[in-house]
Amino acid sequence: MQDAATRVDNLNRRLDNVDLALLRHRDHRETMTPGGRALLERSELLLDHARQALAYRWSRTNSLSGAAQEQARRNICDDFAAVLRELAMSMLPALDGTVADRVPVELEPVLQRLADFAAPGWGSRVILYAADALNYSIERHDDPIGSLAPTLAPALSVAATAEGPYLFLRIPSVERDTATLHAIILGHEIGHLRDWALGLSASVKTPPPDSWCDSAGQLQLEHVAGFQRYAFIAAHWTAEVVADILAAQLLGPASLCAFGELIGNLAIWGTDSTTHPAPDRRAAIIIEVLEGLGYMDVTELRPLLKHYEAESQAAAQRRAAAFGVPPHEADELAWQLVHSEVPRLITACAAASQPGERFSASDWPRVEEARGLLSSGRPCGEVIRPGPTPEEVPDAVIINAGWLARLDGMVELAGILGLDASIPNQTSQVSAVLDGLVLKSFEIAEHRRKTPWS
Amino acid sequence: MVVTPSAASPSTTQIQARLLDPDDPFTVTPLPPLGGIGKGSVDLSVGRTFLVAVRASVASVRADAPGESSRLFTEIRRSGDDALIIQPRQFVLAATLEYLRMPSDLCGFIQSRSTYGRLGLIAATATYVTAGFHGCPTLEIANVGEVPVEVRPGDPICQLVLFSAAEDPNTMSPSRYQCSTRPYPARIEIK
Repeated sequence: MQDAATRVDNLNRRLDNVDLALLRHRDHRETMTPGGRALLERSELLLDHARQALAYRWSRTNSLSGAAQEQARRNICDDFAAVLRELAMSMLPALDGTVADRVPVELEPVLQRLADFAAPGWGSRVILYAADALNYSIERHDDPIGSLAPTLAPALSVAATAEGPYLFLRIPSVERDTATLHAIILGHEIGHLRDWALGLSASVKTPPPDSWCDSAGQLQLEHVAGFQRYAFIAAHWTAEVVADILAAQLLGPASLCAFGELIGNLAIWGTDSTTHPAPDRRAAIIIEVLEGLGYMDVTELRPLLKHYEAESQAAAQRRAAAFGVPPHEADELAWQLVHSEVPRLITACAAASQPGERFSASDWPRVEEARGLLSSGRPCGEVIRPGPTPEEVPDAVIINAGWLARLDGMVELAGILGLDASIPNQTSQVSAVLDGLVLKSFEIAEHRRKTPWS
Repeated sequence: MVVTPSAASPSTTQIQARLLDPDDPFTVTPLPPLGGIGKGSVDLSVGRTFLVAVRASVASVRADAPGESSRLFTEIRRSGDDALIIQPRQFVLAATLEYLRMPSDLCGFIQSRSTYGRLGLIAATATYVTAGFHGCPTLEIANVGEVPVEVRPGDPICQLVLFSAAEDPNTMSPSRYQCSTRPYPARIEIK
């Protein structure tokens, strides 16, 4: 271990490096999204706060001597390493991805609105950013000023007013314009947020399995390590399943279509991991939710749902085994627990929202209407209702219409573009146009929400 | 396809009635406010994606080599109400916020609105919108004034001036920019 004087020099150097990285963003702040700029300002404030606090606390140790001084200074270095981690490992990577031309800026206000719905009263701030990874994610970061400042500088009178949490929503950089795939972030990732707000997955308890307990009901010593793995997997898998259920209730079939495409790209259909149950297990649960919402009765959806049902029919009975770690019966026991909770979780998720907040088969005629617009080469973000009054189209209708057009409207759209949808290269061009129309639809709907027609 | 517009422009009432009729093939989405529909014209606003010419990136461009000209541009996107600042003598491509669907009996020209023109901003230099066009037309914006001009997504910088056309809907071929929702540099070679 280095001595405290060396460590604080290194710490200051790292903070200087972070400052330089922030400076690069500051010099181009006009190219960042509003969320990115808000995060930049908070990062700068945190850095400034940390430097003041470090200097102050260091000076306070001057009155000590010898080993006591050295220990006090090492403790200070430990505290400030937490700031460095937050800045360098969380805030900077997100800032790098908040350049407006890397993200679908049309969706930023949509996601903010959905976040406010999913976690009302949180005052959370959406930070939409792009990264190289091919999947989506949501992370909650409590305002670092509010959470770190009191620890770092208890005696300093630096303003430490806490803001609402920051929600880091990550999209794959290469999929910026693939609007239909973004159903993942609009549904599943927002589902995680709703789960955090409502505590649905946290309601699933993970007591030790009976087979691992002695006659007194106490966990046997040889199963302690297995129990830790069991509890970890059960908690993570439950959270994923709840997010899937909420996504299906919020977005309907689009949640399944986008999930299927994303997983297809990753080629992990039947593979469990320690954090996610295998996609076929999840698909089976999503189909169960959709069936409960009446979608199996929609003629044009039945083949799609039947296809995924057939692809995932053996999933629930297959023995669980997390990929990449030595096999252990904890995985199967965790799956049995999660699977047994699914009916209750579906009911609990439905009960947590108002009927109008769920998207069900009775809404499908609006999707068909919107699909008609997309297939004829028009965005579907606004429709003229009798009055006449232009009216914004709900998010779920837009994203489902996009998927329905992909499933059943490409030939018509290709004809409008003068292309042939049966030629792979031209299909890709038609898909790109369709995704452009879907993103435009979100933009138009948001414009109409913000600017009522007069 | 060559279309010669007739001198006849539809009246304000005619345009409003057509845009409010959900079954009419002429649509502008989002629907502009009624105050933005004037005599023979519809106000259009600028979208959020811009292709900004970066002079240092290419030595020169030729109209007969559009692939080269695309290298001239860098994409910049504005989110929220963020302004793009267009410097004097800067050239920028943008698309309209509004998505047009032109029927077979109407065509139009896009022209700058005088309010912006008097700031030095020319919003469209060669934007003829043909009968049958679907999409957000690309605007060629130039600041010929002396001071930088701020443009925000949604600013009504131009208008579509409409004329009657008499195209046979069965013979209209799609534009190469059909269904575009973003600005595009030139895509064709000039013969």
